[in-house]
Amino acid sequence: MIPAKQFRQQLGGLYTAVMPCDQSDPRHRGALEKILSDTIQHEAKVHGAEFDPVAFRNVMRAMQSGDVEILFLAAAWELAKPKIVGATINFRSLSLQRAENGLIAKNGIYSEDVCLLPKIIRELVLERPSGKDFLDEGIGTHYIRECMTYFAKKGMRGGIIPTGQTFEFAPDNTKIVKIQEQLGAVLGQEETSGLFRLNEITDAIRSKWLVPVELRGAPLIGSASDPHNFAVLWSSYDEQQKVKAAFTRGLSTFKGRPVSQGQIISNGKLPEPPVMECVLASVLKAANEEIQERGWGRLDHEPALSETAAVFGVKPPLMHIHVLNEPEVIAGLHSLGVEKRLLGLHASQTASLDLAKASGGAIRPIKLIGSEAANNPYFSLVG
Amino acid sequence: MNDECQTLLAEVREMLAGADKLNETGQHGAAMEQAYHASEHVAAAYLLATTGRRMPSNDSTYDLFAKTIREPNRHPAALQTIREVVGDVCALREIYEPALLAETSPKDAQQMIDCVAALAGLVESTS
Repeated sequence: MIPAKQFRQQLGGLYTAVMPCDQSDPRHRGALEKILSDTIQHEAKVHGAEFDPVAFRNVMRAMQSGDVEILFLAAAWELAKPKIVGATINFRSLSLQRAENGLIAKNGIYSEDVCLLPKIIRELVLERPSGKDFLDEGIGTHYIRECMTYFAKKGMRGGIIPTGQTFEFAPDNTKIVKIQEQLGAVLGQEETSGLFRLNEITDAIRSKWLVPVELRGAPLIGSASDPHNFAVLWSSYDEQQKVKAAFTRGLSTFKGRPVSQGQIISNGKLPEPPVMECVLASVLKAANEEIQERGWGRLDHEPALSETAAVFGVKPPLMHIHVLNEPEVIAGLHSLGVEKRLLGLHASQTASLDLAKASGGAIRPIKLIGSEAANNPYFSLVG
Repeated sequence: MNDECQTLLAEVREMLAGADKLNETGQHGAAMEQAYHASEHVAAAYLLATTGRRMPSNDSTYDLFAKTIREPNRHPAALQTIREVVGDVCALREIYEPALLAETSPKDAQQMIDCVAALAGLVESTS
């Protein structure tokens, strides 16, 4: 299933590969079902959720519709005996960035899950031939970087090259925090960042004065507009103050239901809190209406609405809102009654990764102490 | 190797013996957890022996230990052996997940115990 040419031998002797799932290949489809089932069950256990077979069926159907981009992670000590050690589940998204002339939205990627299967890693440890060894940088760091390199160089479906990655993480998951720090990700901190959940438009949002906002589609290659992404922009009358939000159609791999992933950034110049709340309320209301119009609340394989029901549209799905280093936006969302998203007992957090940086091969060093610093470590170091 | 370091490694041996017992009596998750923490004690013992500094037994200390011990000039005679064993323990530590300890099999716990024991032996012989 995995051609030998896909593998690259790493320092130490382990062969690794990342490869996209090809839905036209029956072997890939078979492997996908097995690996996704293992991956989602594993993730469900780690996060204390129940594995739901009906939800899993929905996830599998969504895979077939091409909404989700999956990369298999493979490893082998001998090329004749490759193993799939995990998978990543990603969505085409937008990456919001501050620029000199305002706020820009570039192609991005939203990573829903990254999973290494413990059983397979244990097999690799057991089967390690004498004289070979594992990657110094760690398996998780290696695969996450390889995946980002894959997307940054080869692009996602439709030839889209993402420039930034957004993802959710649990701040108490020290392993993922360590890996992402090594890759140079910007990890949200409680004081300035947060991940919020909006089930439906709150009364506080409804009660605010609406200000004009502009809806912008996300272009695909060619002239088509991306049905899975759009942005909402607010500017003050003098164009000095700006807030931009981007929304992506996603999927909860636990629940098998659609989720809208939103991000909000500003240019750092913001109005006073009462006006800011009106701006955020207007952005969220406009986004919610657009999501309803686009029918993101319905999975592709679900039957279309009847004519009568279509008048009211499809109820928008749950919205997750990522806010990174924007304390004023966080304060505004709190005032609008938008709640933090919890993973177990802890509030979840948001993070972003510059793909050019992450795929460049630079690993942050662990500072050596005392006499250790005198020796030259062989692993790559950056300043 | 100084006395404090010897004491730490003796603690590691005790922890691993305890982990073995736990595994034999059906407490596989607890055995896995104990072996995981024993690997951090090994790290603290090694860094104490080489730097004279007592460091806490935790993930950061283990990371520093793993990077340090694999420096090419540090143990030229035993470099490959060290790399292999440190790599095995690093891989097992990466997939260690407290939320899944209840599902640990006796084989999984034994693998962790054996790898950490090999690491402790290696540190003892090279420090």
